[in-house]
Amino acid sequence: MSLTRSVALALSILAVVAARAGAAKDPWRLPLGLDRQAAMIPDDNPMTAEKIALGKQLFWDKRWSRDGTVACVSCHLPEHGWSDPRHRSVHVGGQPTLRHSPTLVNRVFSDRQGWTGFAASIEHFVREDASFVVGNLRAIPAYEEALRRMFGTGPTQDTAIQAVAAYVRMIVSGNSPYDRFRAGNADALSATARRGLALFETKARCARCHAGFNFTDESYHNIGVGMDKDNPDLGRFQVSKREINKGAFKTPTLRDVARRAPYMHDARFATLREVVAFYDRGGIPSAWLSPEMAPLGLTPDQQEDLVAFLEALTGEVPPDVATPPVLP
Amino acid sequence: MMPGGRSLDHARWSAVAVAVSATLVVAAHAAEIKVVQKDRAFSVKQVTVRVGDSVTFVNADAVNHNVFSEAAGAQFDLVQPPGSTQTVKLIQPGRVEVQCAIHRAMRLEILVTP
Repeated sequence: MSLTRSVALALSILAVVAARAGAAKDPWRLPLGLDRQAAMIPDDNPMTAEKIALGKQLFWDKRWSRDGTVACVSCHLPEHGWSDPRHRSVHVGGQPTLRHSPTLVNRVFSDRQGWTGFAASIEHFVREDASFVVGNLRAIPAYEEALRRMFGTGPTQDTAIQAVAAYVRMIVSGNSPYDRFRAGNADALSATARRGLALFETKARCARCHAGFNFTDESYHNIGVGMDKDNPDLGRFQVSKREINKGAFKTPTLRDVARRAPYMHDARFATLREVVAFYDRGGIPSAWLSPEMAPLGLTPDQQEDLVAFLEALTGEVPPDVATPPVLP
Repeated sequence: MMPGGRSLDHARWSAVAVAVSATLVVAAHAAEIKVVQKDRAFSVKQVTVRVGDSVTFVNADAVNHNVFSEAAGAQFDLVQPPGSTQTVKLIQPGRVEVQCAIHRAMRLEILVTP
């Protein structure tokens, strides 16, 4: 996919602010700790204030789902780290989802989307969700008019998807205690969290995969989760058909992780303490378990330190992104 | 040195020279290029080889790697536990993009010339 870096994002975001606040005195900025240069905007779906606003409405609106029961926000709850407290979300017709709802936080920094990276873009990710029927939008004159004005056509699958994707790219989380600590505020992290940070980068090996400013290497690893089942979810293998990918899943960002229990693609862990204990045990043996996975020998206090650090990754999403829109 | 010794030595050296030249010619047409995977990166981003050459991948990391290509005439998908080596022979001219199915940032371009 052809991508440009975030110059377009910066300009368009400024346009959003200008349109909404009527002034440049409070220019929109990525929250502290995020890398503007890493943002990925497709050339064929530039960000505009109007498109983002429409995408937000579509994200929240159940009326264009097949049976009028779900919206994107039904499974990606802002107050729950843009994930779902339920082990499985519920699609149209009451059907449970295959896996736990992945967070939508900081998707603008990834090309591949979903637990398996099945989608090559956010647009692709939205398109694969068969819950929505673009024809339903034609019954809502405001959407019909907005899409025609923006894209020169009435509602189509592509135009609706592009609007939703543009909005999803606005869901960014930063300015966490960790970011403020990195920026020089030594008091932003507790002593416990500082010890956790040191462990995160060394003995606990977390940073080997949860790397970089967004705490993900965007890669696929088998940590054994699910491989203890009779009929395991083979994860990335289902997409790539490559043996090495059996049981591997895409490393999720850890930003806002404390907000979005339960954890793992099968939602097996209710708390971060359980997650840390799992890694301390070295995961679950399987044929392609990553060699990175081995017993860590963390003491109970060290595990608490790690949890404190993970909690310090809870950041801020711009308020106007997270608040519900007025629907037409 | 005997009168005929010079020509004998000359003949011997000539033979050695021919042998060395032949070796170099063979090497030029069937070289084996080593690419190391270390710190989740290939040691080079691009390498040019000739048809018939081989590329040997050496996993110097402590993690699993993989090399795969879907290029015409150069399709492979090799699993590499830590410390392992895998060799691929390139038999068709063209551009071969090599990736790791685990680590998305790992990419290598092999240009295979006639």
